[in-house]
Amino acid sequence: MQDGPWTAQNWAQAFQRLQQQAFGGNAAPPFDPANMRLLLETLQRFTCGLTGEPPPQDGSARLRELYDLWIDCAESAYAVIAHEPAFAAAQAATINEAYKSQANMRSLVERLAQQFGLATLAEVDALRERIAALEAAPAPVKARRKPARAQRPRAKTAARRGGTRAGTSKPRR
Amino acid sequence: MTATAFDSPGWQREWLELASRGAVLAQTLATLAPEPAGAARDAVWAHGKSTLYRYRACTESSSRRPLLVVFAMVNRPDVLDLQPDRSLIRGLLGKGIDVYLIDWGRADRADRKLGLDHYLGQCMDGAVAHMLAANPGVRAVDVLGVCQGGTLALCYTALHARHVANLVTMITPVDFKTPDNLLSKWAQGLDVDLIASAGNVPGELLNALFVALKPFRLTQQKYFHLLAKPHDRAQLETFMRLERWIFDSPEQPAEVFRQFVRDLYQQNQLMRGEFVIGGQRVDLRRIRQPVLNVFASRDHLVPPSASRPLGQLIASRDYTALEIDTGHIGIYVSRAAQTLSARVAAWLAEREAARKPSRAKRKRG
Repeated sequence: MQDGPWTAQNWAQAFQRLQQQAFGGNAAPPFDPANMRLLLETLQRFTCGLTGEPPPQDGSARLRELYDLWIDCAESAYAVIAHEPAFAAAQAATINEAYKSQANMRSLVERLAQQFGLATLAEVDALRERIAALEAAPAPVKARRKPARAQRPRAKTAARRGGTRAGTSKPRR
Repeated sequence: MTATAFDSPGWQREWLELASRGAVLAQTLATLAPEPAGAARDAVWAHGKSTLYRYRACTESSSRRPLLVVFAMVNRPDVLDLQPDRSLIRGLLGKGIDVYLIDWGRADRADRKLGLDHYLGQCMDGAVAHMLAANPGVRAVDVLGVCQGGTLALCYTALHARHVANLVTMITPVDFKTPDNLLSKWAQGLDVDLIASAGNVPGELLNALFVALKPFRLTQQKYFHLLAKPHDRAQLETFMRLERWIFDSPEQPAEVFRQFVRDLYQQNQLMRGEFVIGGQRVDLRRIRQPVLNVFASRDHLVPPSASRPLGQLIASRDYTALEIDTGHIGIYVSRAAQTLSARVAAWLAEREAARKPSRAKRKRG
């Protein structure tokens, strides 16, 4: 490549400047170390990708080609980092901590709700479970509750398994 | 790199062209209203929030044996019938197959304690019972399981072997701990009991994880590529339908999440023959039916390494592995994948044809 900003030499210089920014001097790096590493490794791949390539032709395909190369490099650099045990542990820890925080918040809200005499989520859940248990109760119990049902003609196989023929009963929503 | 290099007339033209494409794209997107374009179907049975649909035939039936399609619970099954020219379901209907689909519905908090024993033992088994009752003379159905639905189909077949004649699995994880499975690596450290104790797992969380597997492609590049054909309404409509499907993720019932992540992703119990559903051990060696295992070579969610081992785990003597050069979503909607339905139909037809002479021989005997 002769002209334009995309010479390998230019990218190498930009890459060197970023490295100096990140690791040299006393200035704080603009990103956290993982993101900086990702950026640097992406740039390194991008530079290698540009080296030896024929100059892109005129037209909008040029930008797209460069963009696609950048994305390919970013994904391959990210894949290396994302597969590392430290990254996997950080992903899981982020989710676990979010759920711990949610559990603490929920416990706080439940205590407040009790003080104001409002139904708590735990109480609503308990009611739901009772309803589900009643719905799943064995046939004789249901028959005692609604004697008329027992006189209906016996349903076929599918109904015996707890299903309903669509059209006669809609699925619970 | 100097800023002046961008000032050359060639680059200025290029940026301007990109900007004008962006304006056209915004205009086209604003006027798009893609309607759902699924094939006609009827709800024929329901249990809990699950519904069994039967698709209306569009051609004369070529087989007496119906096919039950089982999709994942983490997404809606709409992608199997996205639109007329991108539809696995229509492809199968076009080959004369009587297609049923079990839709798991949208779980809510009341379903958080429902585990796989409910979904397989009651919903899927009830659906199969209905299909058998509706097709007198048929003793077993064909099953096509997709993604997580493929794992469910495998478990169902192992537990209810006599109800399944032929099994097709598509992009189905079996070995959940292969070295290239990024999702599995991230899942190892999850505190599953803590997460499940909070209730159902939101679809948004799962989607965020899926997107984080390929963040640059899935949050930037696919949108940038829309600039290539900003006038193409048909292509943009397909894209919008797919986007709508991707981000329409139902909640995962807490108990199903616990079983899937702890037992399968963390402990790899299906591979080790230790997975238990409703008190019954899932032994894949009980699968003696013909099995067609389809997987995608560029799948980032279910890498081929997660699907390939199936052949060694089952007792079937008729096992076919079919690798397609596409990705996880491409297997539903890419143009190349549109031939898949024909291949599945042909594979089923061959098994049906092989069965007929042996049946006739038995009768004569």
